[in-house]
Amino acid sequence: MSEANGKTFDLKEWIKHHVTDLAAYGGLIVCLIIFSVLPPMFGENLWSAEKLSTLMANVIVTALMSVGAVFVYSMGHMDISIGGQVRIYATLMVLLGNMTGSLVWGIILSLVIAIVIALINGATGELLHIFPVIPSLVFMMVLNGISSIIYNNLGSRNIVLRDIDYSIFRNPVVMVVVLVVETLIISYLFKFTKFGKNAKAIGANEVAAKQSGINLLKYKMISYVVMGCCVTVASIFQMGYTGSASDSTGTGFEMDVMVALILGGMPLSGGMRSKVSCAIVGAFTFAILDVGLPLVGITANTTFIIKALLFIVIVLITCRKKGGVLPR
Amino acid sequence: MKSGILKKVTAMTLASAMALTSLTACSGGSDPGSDTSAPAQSGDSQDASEAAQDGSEAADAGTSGGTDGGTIMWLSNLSSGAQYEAALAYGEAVANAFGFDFAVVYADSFNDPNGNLTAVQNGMTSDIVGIVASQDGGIQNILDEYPDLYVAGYNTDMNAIYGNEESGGGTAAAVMDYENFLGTIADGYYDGAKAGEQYAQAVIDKGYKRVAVIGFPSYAYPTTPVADAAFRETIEEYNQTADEPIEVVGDMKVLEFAPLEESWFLEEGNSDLDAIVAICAGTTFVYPTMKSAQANGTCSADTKLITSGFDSEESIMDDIGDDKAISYLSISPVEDIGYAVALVAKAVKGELYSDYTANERIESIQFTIDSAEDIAAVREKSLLCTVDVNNALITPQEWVDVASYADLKALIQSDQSSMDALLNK
Amino acid sequence: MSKGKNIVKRIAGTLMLPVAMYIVMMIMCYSTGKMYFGTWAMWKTLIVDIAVAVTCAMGIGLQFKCGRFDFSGGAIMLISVILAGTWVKNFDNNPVVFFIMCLVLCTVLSVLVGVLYVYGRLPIVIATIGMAMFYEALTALFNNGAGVSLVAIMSLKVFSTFPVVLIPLVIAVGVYAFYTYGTTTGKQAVILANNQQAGVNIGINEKKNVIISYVFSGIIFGMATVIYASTDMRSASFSSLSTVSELFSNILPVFIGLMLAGFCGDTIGTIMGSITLCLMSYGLTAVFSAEMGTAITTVITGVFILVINVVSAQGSHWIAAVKGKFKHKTVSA
Repeated sequence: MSEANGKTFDLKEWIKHHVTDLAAYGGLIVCLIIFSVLPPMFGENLWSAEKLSTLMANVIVTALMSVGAVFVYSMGHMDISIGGQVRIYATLMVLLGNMTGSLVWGIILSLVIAIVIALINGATGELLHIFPVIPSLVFMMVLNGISSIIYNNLGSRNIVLRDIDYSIFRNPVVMVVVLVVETLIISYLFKFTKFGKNAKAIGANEVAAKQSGINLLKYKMISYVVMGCCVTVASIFQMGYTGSASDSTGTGFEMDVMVALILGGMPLSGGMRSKVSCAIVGAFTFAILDVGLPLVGITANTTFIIKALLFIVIVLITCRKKGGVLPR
Repeated sequence: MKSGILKKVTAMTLASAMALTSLTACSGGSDPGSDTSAPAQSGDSQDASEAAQDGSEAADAGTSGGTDGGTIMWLSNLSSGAQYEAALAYGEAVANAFGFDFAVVYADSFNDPNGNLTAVQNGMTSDIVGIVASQDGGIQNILDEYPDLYVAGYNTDMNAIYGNEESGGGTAAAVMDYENFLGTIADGYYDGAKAGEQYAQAVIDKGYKRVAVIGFPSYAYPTTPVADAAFRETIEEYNQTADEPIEVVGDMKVLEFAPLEESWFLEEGNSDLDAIVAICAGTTFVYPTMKSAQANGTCSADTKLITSGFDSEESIMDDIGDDKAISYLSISPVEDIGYAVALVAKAVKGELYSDYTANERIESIQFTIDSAEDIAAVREKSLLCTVDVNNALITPQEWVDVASYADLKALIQSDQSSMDALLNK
Repeated sequence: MSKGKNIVKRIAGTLMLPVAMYIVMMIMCYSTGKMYFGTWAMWKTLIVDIAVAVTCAMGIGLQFKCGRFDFSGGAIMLISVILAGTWVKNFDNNPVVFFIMCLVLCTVLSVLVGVLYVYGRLPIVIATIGMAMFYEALTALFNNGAGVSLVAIMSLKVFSTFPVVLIPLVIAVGVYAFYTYGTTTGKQAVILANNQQAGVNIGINEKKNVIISYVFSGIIFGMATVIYASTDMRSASFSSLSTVSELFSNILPVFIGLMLAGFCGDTIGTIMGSITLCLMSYGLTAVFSAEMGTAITTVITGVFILVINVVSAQGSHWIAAVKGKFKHKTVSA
């Protein structure tokens, strides 16, 4: 304990109140330290330009989606149509890119579709009084079916960009810049504007939020729209990394986002403890494992178990509810 | 003061991390090939590794020894099973014979270019000098990312690069201009017509009179409809002089990478076929449903399966043979991986054959199992089932001793790796 | 008369979905020459799909109606199949041994999920996702990730063949019904689902209740595993949370079950939902063939889920509104 300005600072109390953040950041820092120390013993280096580039390539799509997903998850909702959306948007970008010679039209169309889907996802649950996840489940199935039909009709399992230079999307510096810019924008919206504050309030107590005058319908739709825009940006990088899209693009992305947020310390019930940093911390933690474990000779099969155990350990520290009834 | 302590704690943590990373970056440095104890990503197959170890110890007797040439990475489309274990063990033995280590990473299960590139990137270590790729998705991206690596294909038609008769070059045809792309050895015939003729001959030889055809969709396997057409043509030709003509029931049934649905056997004419010709991985996509239908009585117990793809599950191997459910099975020899490894090894060493033809796509011979004797030989003395490199029909040293590209192709396309050779072993 | 009318109404409500689906699919199949729709041969095949759908739906639904969204069911089934399918070879593929192995493995693995939830005090989604990841990772490690194939082992395949398939199906339905209607735990679970705090306040031991519910759902998943094991080859999971699709593909019968609960109880409602879904999938695959069948089935299933949920949530309001209008008109007249 120490005294300053008449107030005492209790380190133990501070740790007790910030254990969630410590665990989430601690997991990332421990990974960074371990994979800085161990790989050189095997003649490898996580901090080489090549590996850092691989790390960014691994993390960029998940991180971009997760940052936007913070808005939706802070309301206690989840969106499981993300994977299907990424697939459709990547496909549209490639198709329209090949037709028009420019990616712009594909991006614009994807953005429009993303906003429409977001508005429907956000509004349906509220207007029809159904579980909020149901509309996204429906979209997941519909988009998966539509993409199968598209590829069937195209006569190919994957399509590639022709005559368009997409190398900019492979540049790790561009990835970092875009991620930083997006994170700053989302952080600002989330922390300092009513959009974020109301989203957190809805997650904390929807009834109280409604009774205090928050227009639930409006702010739910806005939250989904923010996420939809971020998913569109992520789709650009997903498509742009190899200049291609396939009928398996985006498979499992919704679970990757969920795992990244949980690992980063995001409460699934949303509320005031939601933070944008959860997305970054969680996405980078798993990406470092994906890139770092092979450097120390861990096989792919063993990587899964390590990630699973790490996930369980971190959530036991960050998400454990103390006292009262069991969490739901 | 509260924020002051927090700042100090944060600063100390970050400073420690910085110090550690600086120290390790200085002391580390990548030294390709210097550390042969670097564990290769050879899958976690203990038995396969041990078998490969035993096998390669015997096979390496008298070779140059040492694996300090670097590591050849296998981008595998399989992650388990007999073919995977055997190819891994044999690939490692051949790589060791040339003085290289062997590592494996798993390709994207949907052949997604992004997934394949990510798999290679994540598995890339400083000692990787070449790649043996069993999928064609993302090959151009891999070559762009790692322009110093040599890439050869194994067990893949590489249709994305070579295309087919109708389309001409594939979507990644530009790879043909890449010096470091060394061509591929296909999984059997890349010419669909030959595959169709092969199956037709099997039907004729076995004396089947009512057959149906099942295959994968053309957009994923453009050679399938070609094979189907050639199959029907060959049967028609046979029927012109045959006493008892063969009937091919219905059009080819297309499987969307999902197992055959049992209702297919309820359609007219499908319940009492002599055989089903599956131009796809029939043991995975047709055989389970066929067995269910036979158990339910919706398919005749006498219907047989002619297909490709091997499964070392004991119960399935028990069901291969003349009077068994799987009466004809064709697979590419495991030894094919030696061709790809040899090409990469030679290229890395700067010793490519003087008569080497760039970017060639060659066919593999077919290892056919269609009798009780055949399956018994496979179970007891083949590399495929025993995962013992000593049982390989082409020893690792033979790859090293090859003097020309023509001899290399002749070695893998000869009868040396055929069923007859195995029976006579 | 009123009682009779009530019974008729309940029977009609129970059967309306599967009968309507049967008629629609029959028309579609007959119009495209698939005359085998509705034959005994079709039903013998379909009963296996229905059995898998019912057992999976009940395993998921048992937790769902307690307010718990369980992501681990698919992973539990997969690891159980791989372990039991490998170990049973040491017992000459004895079906009884296999049955017991599946039952015990699924129950134990399911209880472990419950234990993590109860003693880890984690939100249920997080606990089940964590265990799903862990179990999937184990499948990649066990037996070098080779998975298992039981399709050709006829002694085990009996469980996915009519009539033996009815045994695990009936057991699963019986266990579900017994839990729901015949145990104190089941009834307490309803209280906890409606008002968790009130339930705890009146003395319900929540931890014990949850663990017991996971025992029951484990038994039901065991029955699902017994059938599911030999319908196809089972590969290890090499992509994270790939088994979660088991949840999403089998959740529709749960929703239908809850919607029909007012007519026949959720047990029979879930069975009706499974029959409806299987008829739709079977019919569409037969009509559209491989190219489009799966894709269209997926799209229609998604729309179906939305319609079911909307009707469940709003149906009573709409009926009341319509009744109100008629009453109003009658009064005005």
